[in-house]
Amino acid sequence: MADLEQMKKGWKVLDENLQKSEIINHEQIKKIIMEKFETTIEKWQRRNILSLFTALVILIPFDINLFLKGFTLQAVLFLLVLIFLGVFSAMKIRQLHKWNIHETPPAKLMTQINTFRLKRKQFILYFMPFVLGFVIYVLSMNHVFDKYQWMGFATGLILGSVVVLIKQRKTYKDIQDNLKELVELQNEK
Amino acid sequence: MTSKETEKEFIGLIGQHSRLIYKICYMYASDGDELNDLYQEVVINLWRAHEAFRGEAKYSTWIYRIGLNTCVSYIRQKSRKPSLVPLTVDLESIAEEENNAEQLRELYRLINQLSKIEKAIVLLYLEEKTYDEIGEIVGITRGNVAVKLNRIKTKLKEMSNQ
Repeated sequence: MADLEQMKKGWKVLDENLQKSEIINHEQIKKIIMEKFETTIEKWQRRNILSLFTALVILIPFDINLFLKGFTLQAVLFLLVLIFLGVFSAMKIRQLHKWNIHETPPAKLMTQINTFRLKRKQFILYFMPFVLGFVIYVLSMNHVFDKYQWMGFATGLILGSVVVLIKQRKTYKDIQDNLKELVELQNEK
Repeated sequence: MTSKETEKEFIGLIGQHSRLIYKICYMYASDGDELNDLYQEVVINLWRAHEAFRGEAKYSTWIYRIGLNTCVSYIRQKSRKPSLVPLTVDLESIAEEENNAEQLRELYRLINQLSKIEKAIVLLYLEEKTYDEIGEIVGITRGNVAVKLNRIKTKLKEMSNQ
């Protein structure tokens, strides 16, 4: 295995060089972990603020429209759900803002992050079907959307899906390539 | 074990195995920035998985598994901000010393001809792991390791003849 042996020689040289230097110190390891936490929490904060803002911009005019068209009960119910979601979202933003990233030990912060993730998943699991069901009820019972609005809604949905697909394509391709190679490897005799 | 103790234990283990992590990342990185990013990704993933480590395997085996998984699934995002944490040590320069630069350049040229999975197998081969150990870490049989290493040998030979 001439080339592999040649690589082995180079590998030994690399190993010797590495033995002479300190690659990473304790403070840097800590910093890496903390920086990751900070990025994750910032990302969540941004996402929460954006969702809240988008929901308000889209749903408040919709609710006003319902009210103006005379669907008072639906408008009030919709507003109540909206208020609940808004308060919930604001509480999450506040909670994330209160986390003291620099003074909490990584292990404790990790627990907080995992709990937050779990609660978010539980919320989506239990509450979102209810919200979606309610929105569909409001839309379908009162024919609020006319033909063109439904078309706009469908176009938006398709465009959104295309953007997500394009964004994920590279990731999928890489994973697929790796999987293909692994399957070939397993099948080799 | 308290949070502080867990943290201390983890930092100690990473310190002990820092060279090993470096070598895994070296195998997959295409430049110094990527090496730095990969190194940090591996440390973060090891930290995430630390609580799941039960000591059934050696910690180094655990590092190989998580490190290789991280590197194989790592996708560089061009728009990404430069390195998460600017490490004070220039990781790229550690490997480069003038008197053996030629050997390392050749090593890197050969590494770059391998696919991600091949790199994993070659890394473990270079680390003098047995075929059984390679198979256990990568998740294939001993026989497949031998076949794959032979294929890699042929591939490298063909490449050098071109």
